[in-house]
Amino acid sequence: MKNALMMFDLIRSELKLQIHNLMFCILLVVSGFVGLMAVKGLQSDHGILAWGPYYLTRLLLTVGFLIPIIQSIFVVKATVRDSQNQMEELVFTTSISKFKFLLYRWLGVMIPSLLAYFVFIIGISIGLISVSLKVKTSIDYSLLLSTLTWVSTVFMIPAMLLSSVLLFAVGLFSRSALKVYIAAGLSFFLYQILSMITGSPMMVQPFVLNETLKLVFDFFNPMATAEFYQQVKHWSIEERNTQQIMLNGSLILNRLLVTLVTLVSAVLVYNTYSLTLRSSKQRKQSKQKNRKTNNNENSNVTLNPIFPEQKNYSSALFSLIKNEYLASVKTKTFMFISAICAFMIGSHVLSTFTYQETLGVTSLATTTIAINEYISNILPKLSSLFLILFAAEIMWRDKELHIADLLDVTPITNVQRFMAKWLALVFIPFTFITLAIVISVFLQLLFGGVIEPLLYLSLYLYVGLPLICVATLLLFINALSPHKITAIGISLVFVILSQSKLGQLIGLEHGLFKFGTAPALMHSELVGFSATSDAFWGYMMLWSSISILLALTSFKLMNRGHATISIKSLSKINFQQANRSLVSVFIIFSLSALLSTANIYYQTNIVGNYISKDDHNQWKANYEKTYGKYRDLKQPTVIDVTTEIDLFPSERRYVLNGKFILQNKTKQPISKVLIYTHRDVTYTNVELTNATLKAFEPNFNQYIYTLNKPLKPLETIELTFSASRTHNGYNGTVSDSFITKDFAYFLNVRYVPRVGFSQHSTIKNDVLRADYGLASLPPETTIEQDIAKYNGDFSFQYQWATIETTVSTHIDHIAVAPGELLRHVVLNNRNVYHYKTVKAVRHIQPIMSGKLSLSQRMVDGTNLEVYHVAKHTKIAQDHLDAMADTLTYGNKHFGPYQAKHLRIFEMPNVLKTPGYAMPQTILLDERYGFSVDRTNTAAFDHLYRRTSHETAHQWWGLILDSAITEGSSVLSETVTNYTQAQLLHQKYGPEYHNRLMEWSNDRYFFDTGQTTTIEKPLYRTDEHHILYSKGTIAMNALGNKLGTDKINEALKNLLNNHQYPEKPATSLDFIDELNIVTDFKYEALIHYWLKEVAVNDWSIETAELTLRDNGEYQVSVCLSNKLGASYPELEVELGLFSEDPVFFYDKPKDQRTLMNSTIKLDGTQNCFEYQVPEKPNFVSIDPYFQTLDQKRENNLMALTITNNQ
Amino acid sequence: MLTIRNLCKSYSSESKNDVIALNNINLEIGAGMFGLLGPNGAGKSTLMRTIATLQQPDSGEISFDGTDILAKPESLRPILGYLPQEFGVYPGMSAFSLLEHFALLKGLSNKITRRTQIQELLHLTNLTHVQNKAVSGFSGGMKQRFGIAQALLGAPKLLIVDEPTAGLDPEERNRFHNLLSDISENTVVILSTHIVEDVSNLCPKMAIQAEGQIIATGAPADLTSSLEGKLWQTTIKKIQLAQYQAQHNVISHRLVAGKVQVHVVNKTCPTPEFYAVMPDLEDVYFSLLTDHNKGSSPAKLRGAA
Repeated sequence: MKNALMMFDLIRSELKLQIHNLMFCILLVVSGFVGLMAVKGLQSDHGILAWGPYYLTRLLLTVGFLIPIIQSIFVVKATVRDSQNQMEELVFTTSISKFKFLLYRWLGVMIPSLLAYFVFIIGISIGLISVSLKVKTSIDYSLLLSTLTWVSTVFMIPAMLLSSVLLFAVGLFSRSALKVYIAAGLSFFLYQILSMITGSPMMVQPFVLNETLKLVFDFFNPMATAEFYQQVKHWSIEERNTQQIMLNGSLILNRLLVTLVTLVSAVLVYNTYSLTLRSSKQRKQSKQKNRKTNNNENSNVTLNPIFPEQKNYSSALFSLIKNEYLASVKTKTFMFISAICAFMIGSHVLSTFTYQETLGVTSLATTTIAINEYISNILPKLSSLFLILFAAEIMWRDKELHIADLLDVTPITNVQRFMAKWLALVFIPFTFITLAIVISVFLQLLFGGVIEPLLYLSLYLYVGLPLICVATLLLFINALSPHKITAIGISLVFVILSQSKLGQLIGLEHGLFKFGTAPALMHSELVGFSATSDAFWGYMMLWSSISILLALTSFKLMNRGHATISIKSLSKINFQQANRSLVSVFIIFSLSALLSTANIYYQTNIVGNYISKDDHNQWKANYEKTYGKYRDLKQPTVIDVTTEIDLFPSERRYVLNGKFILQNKTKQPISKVLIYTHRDVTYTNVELTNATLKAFEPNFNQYIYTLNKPLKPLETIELTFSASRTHNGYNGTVSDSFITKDFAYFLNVRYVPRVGFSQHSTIKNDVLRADYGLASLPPETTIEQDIAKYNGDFSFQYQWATIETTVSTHIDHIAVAPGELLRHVVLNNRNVYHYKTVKAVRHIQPIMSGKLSLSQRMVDGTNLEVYHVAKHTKIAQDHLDAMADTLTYGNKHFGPYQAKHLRIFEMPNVLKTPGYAMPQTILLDERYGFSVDRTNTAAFDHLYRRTSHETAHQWWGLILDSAITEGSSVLSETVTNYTQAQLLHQKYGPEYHNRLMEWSNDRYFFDTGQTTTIEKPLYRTDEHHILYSKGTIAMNALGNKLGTDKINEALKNLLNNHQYPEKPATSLDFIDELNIVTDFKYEALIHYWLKEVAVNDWSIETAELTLRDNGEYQVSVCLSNKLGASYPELEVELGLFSEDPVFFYDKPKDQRTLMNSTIKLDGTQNCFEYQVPEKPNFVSIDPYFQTLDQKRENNLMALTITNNQ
Repeated sequence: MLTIRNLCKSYSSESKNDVIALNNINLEIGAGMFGLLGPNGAGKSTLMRTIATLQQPDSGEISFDGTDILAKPESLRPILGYLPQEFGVYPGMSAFSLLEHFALLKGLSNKITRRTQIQELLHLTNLTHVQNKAVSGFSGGMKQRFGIAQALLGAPKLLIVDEPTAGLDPEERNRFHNLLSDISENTVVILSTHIVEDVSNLCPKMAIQAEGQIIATGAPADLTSSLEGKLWQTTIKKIQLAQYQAQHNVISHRLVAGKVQVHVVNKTCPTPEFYAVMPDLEDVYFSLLTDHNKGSSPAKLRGAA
């Protein structure tokens, strides 16, 4: 009893120490705020409730990796404070037992962690109430409470226990606060990296680097995310809203393992730790030295004085710098931090060299690819974080080590001392940059890449300069702070707010609020850094000027000896006493900072039309409120486009003059025309013939014309306009309007005048709409409703026009626009190109201009052209091959390609266009299209697949322009995927395509677990994973059964019947065509694949192998389809193999395949018997991934002989 | 010659009034050893740090060889050697490297002469054999010897040593005393300590500081002579101490073989059990402190020096 009371008092006193301080209060406030903000954007408009078990569990699992970071604060106090305050002797010599000591200290970590977590979920709950009020849906509080309790108990608390024990151990054994923080940071980063490379759906770009690693990580994952996503993979909306995660087999195993690791760690800590001091070895050594010293007798040496020399500036400065730098880097901490950096950078570069995209595709080990992995993210952010520690270390080291007095009395000047500290600090990020370069170069050499030394050297500028500014700011904060811990705290806040998106939460959105940063840099083989380098230098001018001012102030604040510095010191700086040159420097850089700020503001807000996210949403809401009444107003259609565009790449500017012929394609006269222009383009003239401008609202760029005489059906009017636009990199890169010195790309869609109410300028998200006082959007109509509404005629949706373009550009550039090249002349030392489409095309008008090489080939009367940087000539031939194959296939099976040119453009990676097809033009990203390692023969040929896919779009999407309704993308993406599959079959054989089938299976189920919408049948869907992944499998299955000839025939008919200007096709038209060409023989099968949500779960229930008297082997196998196919006639393959088919499923069948049979589980027969002459070792259902199978682990069974007759 | 005039310094205190660390200090210190004696908290370190240009006084002047060092601290630093009461070192740096670092900071740019002097200093401080070992791993005494070595780098004309022999064994202490004595022939050496014996043995001139004030200056012998014939000693039981302190001007007492030996200052023999003893510097020190603490200090005691 006495012991229990004592323990209680100890815990109470420990808790008082942990939570009775400002830091804890701030942490609670932040926890609540983060909880509140975490649910702010959650939607319920797809039917999934934000307070339902699915959303809440996913949310809590997503933020779970923050646990170590928060716990590290308590761990440091619990484990390191005795050592920090030299209290160990006093504490360890009390009568407390080791068990009690460890228990009460650990509870001092765990209880505050739980309190912070509790406040976090209170924040979530308040946030959810606010969301429910907004969307006017009541919360089921008992469900909310039970979900939070269940998730906390099953997922969060075990993770918190594990994290607390491990960090507690680090603190106990290292007795170093820094090491605890580093361990917490490392676990944060490691968890993210492991989640990413093991394909966790939590991450944005997950991929499975190694299956074994994934298995191990899934077993031991403290948050059990894999089990969560596995369980919810096929949950319906209702299940997501009501069903808790089940504590089933794999989740129980995971939780037990996590608990076991926690217990084992705790026991190890208890057994290993002792309440003793650490340095016995060191003391022993010292004693030995002393003994040795005492034996050394010599007192007959005299001291010869040396007088200091006057000019000793550089050697003393060098010695100071060297000392400051080495004292920082020759430490275990620095080594550890460097190891973290090296690991992070190395793993990123390694993964980018070994994984470009799925199915083993690797990239060339180029310097560009290597540095893009870390220049705008890992390197600057990690360096900034670590700089906080080193700035504090360097600035406070002399005082903490009590060496300041010794230094202060030496003749070194304050300038020398300050410069030494500043330079030593600056050299630290330069060390990290060097480390990154060394790692990248090593990996490049390993992968046979070509090193670009100058590009690497430029990192010292592009990554180094911002870090110099950050270092200077941190130095200033330390110079001004009364304590090291205060300085670290303030620095952390500054760095987090400026280097992360958290600043946006408190309105720090504009780049001017983000000290030491500039719009993200990315290097491109086409345009270098030029996409945003102007903004980089603009911002660096500002940050450098401010840094110099901060450095001067820090220098003036720097005191020798024992005077303390406070915020008041700032006001005491007497610049009048400072020498003139110092004052001049101060004035010059103050002016420079002001001018730079003005320049950034001008470039961002005036030239770049910057608008904050909130203001933009408000603008959209106001636009809709003002012009929403014109949403259904009948408007004329653009049928003819004439554009003259003058590109000035070195000025990053273009001038545009255009003429549209508008035709009334409706059946009623039109008397009012709305013209909307984009806010980023400066229009100097907009004129509509036969019309009077009734209103123009510059804030919305909205013109309202009244026609002098109503425009009758089929009558035309003319719209002329003049505009210009100057680009810069201050607001980042815009993917459809991009002009730099070496490359320009302009896509008309958003930037030329648009007729009618601009749907693009409306808010689509219902929660946001509610925030800005807009009513919810009406539910989307179904394809059947639309067909009924428009009588099956969607022709009014056509936006087709003949396009004529004259482009003038720099003399070194080639410029291209849609259509045939009519003329190329040189005028006024500028290249002028004149293009015109032979007939109407979809009104998409891409214009490209660049210093590019051209590779071309004539195929079937069409000139195939690839525009690329000079060094990509060889790979351009691969694209020409794919284009040629697709063109030949399309011409043969679907109908003739309708132009004399088809062009591929290598696009700068900054535009992030992996592949994009437009009329007669295809854009391919420099990385995915041109930096592919073609020597990697084990990789799937995604290059061929992608190029044939984009080429196939010339038919599917561009010749056949489907109706805009549900499932419209089936006729572009799914059918294009079918075409690419036929080309892959043709080039590599049908088995090769099985790899893509396997990947499509995985991708479909992976994304199904992610989506928040109810899955629609393929013919009604617009979701990518259904269109592409399920679409690939569905079309493959139909092709196998109906025959590709029949499918091609149906597609050809579809094209003939529905291409412009015929009525646009819907996915139902495609289904009709399929049934017609097959005389409705496969109607049920077509219905199953295209009109149902087709998912199976094939399973081998039992399999028995016996040896027959005749020497043959008999296999008896019983199967099931656990999801029960709605189409009992569905066939699936069953194979007997001598080896696991996973190793050869993508190869032509050989002796390892002993038997392959097609069966169906139609309820009459579920068990099958086979006799084969050779002994089979495996039986597998659907070994070639021909159907969608939810669980593949029960598809394979190893066979052993059960009798020996 | 170091001249200190009307030096005052106070520190603001969180709870009470300001703490006066230096209260109108006036001193003139010529070449040779000068001892500054005083109890803990007397303000010795503040005075040392102020002379060493590490902090500015609230008022007053300090000049060295006629140069105002408060206005021009940079003029003193090249000829200043300073060993603070407590100091640290960079972790992992060897004795030689750290001495070389300080030598460079002190302006000893000639590599050969610099390294020669470092070797001499390492030898003098008996650290030659550990010159390549990290100073951070040194024992307290070794570290103190390293501090002495760094203070002697270059050619200090003013050497300030604050509690220099703390942690040194008797042998090292003697060695250091001899070294200081040698150096002091042409150098102003200020030795701040609370060990009376050190001052008594080494310093021809000294001052006693208490509560920020200099309560006595002069040669130790002169200060001692002022108590001659006034110092009385007796041995009493522990239980009697309070009574004796109440009845007599007890300046010090210490335990000897379980009994208390009491020193009393009085013009005549207080009672028969007392007998006269020859005063030493420690008696002077205690006597002055007692007087100062009682607030009955008649005036600053100034020796004949």
